[in-house]
Amino acid sequence: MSRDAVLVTGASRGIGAAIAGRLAGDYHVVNLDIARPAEASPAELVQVDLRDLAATRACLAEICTRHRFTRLVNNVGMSSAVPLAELGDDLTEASIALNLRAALLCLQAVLPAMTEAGFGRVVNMGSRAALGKELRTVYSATKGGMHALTRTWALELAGRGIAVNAVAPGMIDTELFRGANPTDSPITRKLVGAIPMKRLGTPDDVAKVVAFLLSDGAAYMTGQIVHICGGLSVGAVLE
Amino acid sequence: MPEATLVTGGSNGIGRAIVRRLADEGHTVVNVDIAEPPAESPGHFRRIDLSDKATARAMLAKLAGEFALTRVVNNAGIVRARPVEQVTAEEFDEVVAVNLGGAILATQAALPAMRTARFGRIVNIGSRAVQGRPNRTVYSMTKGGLLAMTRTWALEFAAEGITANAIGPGPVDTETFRRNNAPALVANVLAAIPMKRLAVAEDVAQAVSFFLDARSGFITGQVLHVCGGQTLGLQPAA
Repeated sequence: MSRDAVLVTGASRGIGAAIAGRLAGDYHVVNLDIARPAEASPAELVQVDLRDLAATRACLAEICTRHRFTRLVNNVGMSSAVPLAELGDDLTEASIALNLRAALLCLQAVLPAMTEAGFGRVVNMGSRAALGKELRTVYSATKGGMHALTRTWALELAGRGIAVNAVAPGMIDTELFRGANPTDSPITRKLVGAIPMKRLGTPDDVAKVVAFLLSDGAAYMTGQIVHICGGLSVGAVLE
Repeated sequence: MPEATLVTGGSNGIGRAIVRRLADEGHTVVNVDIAEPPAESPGHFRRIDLSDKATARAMLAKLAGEFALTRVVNNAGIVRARPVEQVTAEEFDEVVAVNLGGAILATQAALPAMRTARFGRIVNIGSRAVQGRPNRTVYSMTKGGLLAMTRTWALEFAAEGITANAIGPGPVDTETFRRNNAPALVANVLAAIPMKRLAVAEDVAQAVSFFLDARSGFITGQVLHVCGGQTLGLQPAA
């Protein structure tokens, strides 16, 4: 067994990569991702398709024999812009498997170690889209689901010293974001124009908050959804 | 084509009360359920298993050819009460298919009629459990998802005269609730409800009727908690 480790899903790119980079100084970081990192990463990579139930189970069983995970970041996610009328079953099923079911499987895998330690930190990747976003039926559903999971797990695990929180990023400049939000689309322009801070967020804006929520010091916060959105979720009409 | 209101899961519990209430108000109601409704239940019934996506999609499309479905109440839902350690992937998929997948399929089926009419009402039955409830990992997750979809649909269809809203019932005295909550637990639940009673299904039907009313047309993306005050002092369902 190594020193206490952090499990981060989807840390090869985007927000996940920023989280892995920020945590690497303090913990051993294991990155579960289907792809190799886009840039040099300090994390231990274990490649797995987290939509694949059997593969994910086998992979989690294996890494939990090698590491004692007392911290978990359920970051992995996919997003597509699709009108409800055109939404097909395959996209729905893949999104739910990746964005939600993988989080459940990861939590279940690390829970014995956290329970034994009487200590745990779980951070789930939510989204401002849980507050509603056009053309995001499934993505918003998975993120609204993640927020609810966060509160249910927080209540259920509070007696074991395990804190469960979520971050809810707004418009963060990542490959995932750019793929689902073409810069020239009217919806993207409208939303960016509505950000009180007048800029997109960076992956590190999110990673810093995740690092805080994972820290020993964040001991009395649980079941919270921390919006990191430059003020967008405040919902005010800018004048 | 006759205009009708689609209610999923209308054979029992909250859904049955919704069907009864809407029929009393003059709606032509189509109840889609896996279970047979009581003989005296009003309106039309189609047996559709919403968890069987391909078949459900085809049968709902057929239904949309018989009725102009300008109102939809996504009420069908299942609960598996279980500590998080014991949740299986199989029951995860099953609950998601009904509680989220069913709402997507039913709304997709009704959308063309709503767009043609430039009028539509979508009401999703959420739950207070979105604010967290121990031993409800998958249930609370699906209801949180349903509330998020409600807001997404509200935005997506706002310019077309179609509203989407949700109800957040607190504990409702139904067979499902009794099955999932032992008597000792019911006492704890009651202690947390300022009104000191469970909801009855008609309390929820009242709120559904309000959202479905043509005069409720400027209300969209909202969650109406029908909870006897249980959510007061707690965080909003974000």
